[in-house]
Amino acid sequence: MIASRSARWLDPRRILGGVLVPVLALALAFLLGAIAIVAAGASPIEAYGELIRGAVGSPQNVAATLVRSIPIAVAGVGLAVAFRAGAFNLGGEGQMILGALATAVVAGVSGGLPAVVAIPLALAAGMAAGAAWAILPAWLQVKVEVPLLIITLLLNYVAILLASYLVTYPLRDLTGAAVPQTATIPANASLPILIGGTRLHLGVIAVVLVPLAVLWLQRRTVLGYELRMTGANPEFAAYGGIRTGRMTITAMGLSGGLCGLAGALLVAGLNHRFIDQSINGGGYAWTGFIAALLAAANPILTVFAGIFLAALDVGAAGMARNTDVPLQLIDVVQAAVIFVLAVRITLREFIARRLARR
Amino acid sequence: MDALVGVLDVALVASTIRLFTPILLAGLGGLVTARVGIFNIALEGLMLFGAFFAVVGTAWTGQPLVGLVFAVVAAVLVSLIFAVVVVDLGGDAIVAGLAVNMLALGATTYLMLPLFGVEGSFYDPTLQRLPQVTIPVVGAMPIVGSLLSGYSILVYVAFALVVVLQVLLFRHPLGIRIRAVGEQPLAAASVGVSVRGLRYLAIVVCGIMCGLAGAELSISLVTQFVIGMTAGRGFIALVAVMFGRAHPLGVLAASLIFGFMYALTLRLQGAGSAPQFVAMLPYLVTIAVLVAVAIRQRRAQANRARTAIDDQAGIGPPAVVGSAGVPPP
Repeated sequence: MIASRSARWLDPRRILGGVLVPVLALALAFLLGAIAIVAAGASPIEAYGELIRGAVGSPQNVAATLVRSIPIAVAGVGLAVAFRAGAFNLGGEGQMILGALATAVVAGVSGGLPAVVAIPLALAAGMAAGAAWAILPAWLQVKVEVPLLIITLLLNYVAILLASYLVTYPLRDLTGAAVPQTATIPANASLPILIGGTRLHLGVIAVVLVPLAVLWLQRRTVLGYELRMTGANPEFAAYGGIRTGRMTITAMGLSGGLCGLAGALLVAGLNHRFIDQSINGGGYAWTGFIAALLAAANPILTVFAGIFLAALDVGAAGMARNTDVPLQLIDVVQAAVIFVLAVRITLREFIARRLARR
Repeated sequence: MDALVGVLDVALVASTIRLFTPILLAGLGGLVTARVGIFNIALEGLMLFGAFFAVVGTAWTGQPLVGLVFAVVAAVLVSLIFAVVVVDLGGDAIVAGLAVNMLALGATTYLMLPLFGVEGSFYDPTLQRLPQVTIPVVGAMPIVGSLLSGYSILVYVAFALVVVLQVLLFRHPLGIRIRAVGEQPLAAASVGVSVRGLRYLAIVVCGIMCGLAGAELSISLVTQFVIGMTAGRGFIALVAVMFGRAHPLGVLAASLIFGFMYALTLRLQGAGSAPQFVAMLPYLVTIAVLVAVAIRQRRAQANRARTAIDDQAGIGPPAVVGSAGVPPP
């Protein structure tokens, strides 16, 4: 199994198909982006230059990119877990929101605890909330075949409104600003800052640990094998004695748990409170979705894609500050990437055919 | 007091009819693509494009009917990209549909600053609404008048389209071909039906409907554009297609339920309940409807297995409507 896998990895057709398609997707997307920049009356070279400078132009900017990549990469890996098991989880946003809120609440009441207890407790609360919000639609899909795709999408809106209600009324920090938000979490439940002068926090280790843990689960455990089989061929998996319904629920639980963790890290490391509309407004979960799609649901590659997309976001903010091009240019570029990725299988076959003919 | 309750309830029905029209229009679009075997999750994004360009056209020319044309053209152009990706390049319809939705949200937000010079939402008091139709004699009657008359022109168009589609799909050769493409594309192709052509046609028709739906939202129900103002109505329309089993009359009935929920939401918000909980109502009811649809399908399957009677022609929607756990590429 391992040997054949490495042999397949060395296959030039596979490498070209796997690398060329995302590269082509990005190239086309940036071309479209250039057209959009011209439409906004700016110079594409100048705008893209500002974008690169904004993303990696200084140590502070690199740190900002890494900080933004934490929730994106963790949520992306979470969504990839579900995709690999054949569960199309589009509810990452809702799972992340409720995870973040649960972390803000638990961290808020853990003032007297030592940090080694308070932080894991707060993060676990976020994971549990995210997992619960994902298991609900998974259970409905398994029990009565409600399409997971749509119900997870709809549950995002419910989660946004539920969190908004909670943070506007019962959980609101009454001393706070005009925006509804919870009280600041105590210092002992906050993730420490790693480099002074930046906002890079301890949560960045999740970007390394989460994909490795998922890879280990998928490649080295029976559960991981069963999850992958359920995604690759549910009939075969069921024939082989795998309880595919239970696998769907497990995969969604893991996926939602990781999305919840993404929200939890955002609260415990960066915002130190839950701010209404900050997660859906920030587009973290959907960027994570694009990362998972770009990486074909490979956990390690999802992280790299997530860091790259975070760099684009942070760079776009710099570009918007220094040129007349609006920040949302990057949303247009990302949508174009997904269009190309939608035809990924066709493209890969096309490339493989071309190579075979040679 | 009784008279007041009576007036209020008439108002609720009228409000339902106003609010259900965008969902009905988008749902009819989704129905047409479902009938050619394409699960169209892009309704949401197409509607948002429609809503945005309706305001653009109206603001530029001062003519809401020009805005309507803008909305339809924009939604059709984006539909054509979707069609190329899905029909010609064999792309995954769900991923491409999500791309349309993200493109819509990104592009409309992006274009707000250069086109309107504002961010977040655009409102201009001089913006004209779509013409409201007053039916001559009926409009003057006391209760019937306010129930049947005084709506935006698109409300009447939507009702007319239900009838047109019902006749077209089940009484006209073109409709039979469209259904054949959805149910048995190979068989349809073997008797000379252009599968590609009809899929393109369906996607373009869907684009037109979604453009109209968006225009109804932004230059009729209100006269402004707000970022993401469709707020999941496209997904709700998709559920209406499922609940209505891809039948025009069924989609009409399903949309009425959702429209009523939106009307109730407005009414309750006026009554001072927590706005977030009230705003949740349409989504929660949609989820409940989804569960009901799923249970009904299960029962139907069980019944079919028991009685071993073939599916009646035109009852079941194409298989794509139930496609849930579609793995990404």
